Amino acid sequence: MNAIEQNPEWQAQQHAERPERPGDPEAVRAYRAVATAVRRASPPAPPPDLVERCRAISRREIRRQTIHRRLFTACLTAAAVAVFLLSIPGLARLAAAAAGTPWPMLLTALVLTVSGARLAGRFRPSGIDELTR
Amino acid sequence: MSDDRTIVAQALARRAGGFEALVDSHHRLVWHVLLRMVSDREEARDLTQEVFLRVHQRLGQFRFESSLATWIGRIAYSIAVRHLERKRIPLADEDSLADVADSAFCPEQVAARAGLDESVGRIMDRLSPLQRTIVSLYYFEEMTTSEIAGIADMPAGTVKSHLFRARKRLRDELQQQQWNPR
Repeated sequence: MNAIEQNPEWQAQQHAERPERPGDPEAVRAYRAVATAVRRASPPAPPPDLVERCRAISRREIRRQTIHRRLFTACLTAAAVAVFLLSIPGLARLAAAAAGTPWPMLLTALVLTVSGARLAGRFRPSGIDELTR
Repeated sequence: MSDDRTIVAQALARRAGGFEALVDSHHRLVWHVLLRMVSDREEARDLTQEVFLRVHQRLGQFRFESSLATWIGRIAYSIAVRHLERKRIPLADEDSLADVADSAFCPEQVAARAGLDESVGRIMDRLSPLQRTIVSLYYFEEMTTSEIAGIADMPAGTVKSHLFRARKRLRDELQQQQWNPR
């Protein structure tokens, strides 16, 4: 038994956690005195604009998810179209010729990477404030 | 608990006003936990939004093993703890438990003194984040020690010990102020 557990007041708490209910008049008065003071000293309710921002989180999240879903669908469609076009013999040869030299390949890869990163950055929420603004 | 089920079902079904109802019924709890933990209104504002964003993302994982309030309170608490850890602010005081062995607790006498509310507010601010939060949840939100234990993820006995130590500190500091009023 540690120091706190030896304390009579702590032991009393084990039997009457919130003394308003069990009915020890002294304990009830003590509880109410502290409770009243703590309530009065407690911070007020959250600011209304904050509550409104929190309420809007659902709408904004749904919108963000919709954008992500559409972006994913668009990428998938673009890839399918590219595969289809490359399956046409003439276009495939043209693409192979373009890819024959190293620098166009590198340039194409660079442009695609930069565009992809910019596109992803535009739709990725960078912070909670931005998301809920 | 049936209210919880209705609120969760409506929010998950994305019915109009579903998530808003959840925010309306729990924003006060989240605000108090965060404000008591971090003691800074601006930080509490940002964290409150982070809590409800996480609630929105993880609501599907809520299994009704506790009340919705406890679950949301736990998310608020864990986000606040992570925030304090990042800022290297200790969660609880490192003081020994040995100095509280024999104290006669009489808050009623203390409560009868003038200017109590202001003093209690000041002293509450000086408690550790954990004790401030526990006192606030117990007296202001009127949660049981079991519910608080669910939020802070600690045994109910530990919550009672923190509550006891916080009240003792309140009493001691108020008694000191009686002799040295500000």
